[in-house]
Amino acid sequence: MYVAGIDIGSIYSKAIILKDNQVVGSLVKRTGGEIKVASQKLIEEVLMPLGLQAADLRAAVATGYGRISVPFAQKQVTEISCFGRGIGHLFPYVRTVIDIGGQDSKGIKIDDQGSVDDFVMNDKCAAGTGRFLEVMANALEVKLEDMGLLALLSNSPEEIGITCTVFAESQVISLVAKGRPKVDIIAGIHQAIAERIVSMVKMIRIEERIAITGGGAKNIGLVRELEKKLGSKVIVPEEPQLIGAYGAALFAQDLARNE
Amino acid sequence: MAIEQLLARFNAAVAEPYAEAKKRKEQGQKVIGWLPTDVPEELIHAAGAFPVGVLGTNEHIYLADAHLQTWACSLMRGCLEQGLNGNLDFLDGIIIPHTCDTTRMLVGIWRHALSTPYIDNYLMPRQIDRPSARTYLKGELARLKDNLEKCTGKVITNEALKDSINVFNANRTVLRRLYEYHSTNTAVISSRMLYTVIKAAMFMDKAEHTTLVEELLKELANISTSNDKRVRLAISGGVWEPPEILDMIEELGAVVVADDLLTGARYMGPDVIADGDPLDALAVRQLNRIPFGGFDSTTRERRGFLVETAQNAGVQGMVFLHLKFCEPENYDYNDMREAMNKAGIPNIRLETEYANTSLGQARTRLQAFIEMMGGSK
Repeated sequence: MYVAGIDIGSIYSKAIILKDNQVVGSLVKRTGGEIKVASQKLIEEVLMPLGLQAADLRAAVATGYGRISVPFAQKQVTEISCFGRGIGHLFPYVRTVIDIGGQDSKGIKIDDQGSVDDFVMNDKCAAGTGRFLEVMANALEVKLEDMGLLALLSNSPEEIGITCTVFAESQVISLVAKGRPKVDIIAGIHQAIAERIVSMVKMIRIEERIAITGGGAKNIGLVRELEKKLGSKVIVPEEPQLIGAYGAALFAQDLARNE
Repeated sequence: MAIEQLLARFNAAVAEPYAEAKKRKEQGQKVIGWLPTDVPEELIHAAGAFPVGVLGTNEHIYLADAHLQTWACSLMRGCLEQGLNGNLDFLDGIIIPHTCDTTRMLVGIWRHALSTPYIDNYLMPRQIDRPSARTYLKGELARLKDNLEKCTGKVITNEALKDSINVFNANRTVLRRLYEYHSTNTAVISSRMLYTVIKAAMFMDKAEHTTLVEELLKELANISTSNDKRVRLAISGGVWEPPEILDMIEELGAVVVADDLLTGARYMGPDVIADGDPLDALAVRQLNRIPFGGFDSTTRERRGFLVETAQNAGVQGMVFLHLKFCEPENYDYNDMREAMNKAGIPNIRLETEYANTSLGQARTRLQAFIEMMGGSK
């Protein structure tokens, strides 16, 4: 019995295929313009090596901001519940999930079943999200995937105010113009993002242990900075970007079993 | 009238909030506008004028930006916008209550930027259980009465005021009955419809509104209640804006059965007990209204009231629906959230704005919240 979890994020779309509890396929792809088309391509591509088609799936659950535009999904579940479920399944001792996505960041409190007890999410603002890092990487002409490592090289991070992505970008550009070392600016950016995320997540009273998910968890500089601000070592799953899709796939499995 | 026809009347009143007021104006009646919240409409009514609520706009706001910072709440910016774009030119007067810093400053801006013939600011006591509150408020109501008499050219007799109080009490009574009906028969009319009926009272002739709600109640009495499995929610905050938020709650598998909104439960109760001095009775009603972020009471705290309201209505969760930049709500929120958590009532805060077209994130939060309580579509 095959089931799928599809997570359509603002920047990346993710898919997980489960066969009897085991992950047999996964894929991460840029979302692009038309979500309906993107989700079709995503499922075709992830199923191709398995010799399957969407019609062969017993169930599919969609999550992420594009969840309402996935034609082959029987159910939509929010990314908040999916991240909780995915982490709860993999790490039952985790009580707080911090998800750093492309468009928003979230703090999610879960119980040992991965059920959500409480959550908090950033408002309509890119500061403290993956998008912010992307904008800054562009402004500094550095590859996004190099940002985290570069941040670790700094000994005296710059102070970056992070009230707003647009203001922060012009601040970064003026620091570059002043000839400040890029690594210090990058380290400052990571500090600012971590501050923003931690102050938001504190609204739900953080309990250990803490897991970090989403594309932002792949940034080692950000993870280290978050650990410093949280005063706690965090758990980063092997594929942090795929946790939402994994949780969705677990919900799809429930759906298939209850049929 | 059939239920659909009755509901269409309320919908029409909310869609065209100034239609009745303009008709009255054409017929030679004075029209006095009021801003939220708590302006004693009975005084306007007793002076023979037509009271009409001015409750912001979901149209684009830009003229107000020249006078009021964009980080003031969109409710007050929207009220000012309507003054500036000429939509309120028909008013003979406007009463702006002082409920927060923005409303306090708005009166001055209104005087400076607009030429409404009569502009007044209504100053209610903020510490409502201080010994001086009742006496002070009576004096303030007497001042308002004098000014309304000057504006309308009509003396407000005790008798006329008592009659007006009865008209408004009758309206509150039918609204409360409808509210109670909806709380147990949630599947018959939608949450948005219930709140539309309440809001319509702010724009329509009160006696006519009362008659229509009575008719509606008669029709509804014949409808047997179905078993509604949706998640029961309470809402706390200022206004149910943008209105789509209520549709969204229902689409996502929940229903609103309790609130403390200015355009909801706060508009209804309690009645004015008008056997003695009617001004004193109006003052007492004001001091006994359900708690609101703009006022403070040590004996009847808002957080305790909210927990009680949520428990009495048997809700599974509380949505704090706050207007962005609403300071009274921002300051109250922490205490209220803690009280909810302590009482074991799941809660979520959503910040919305008038004229806000992007509700995608609010949808995700609401859906996750409803999923958290075991409900889903």
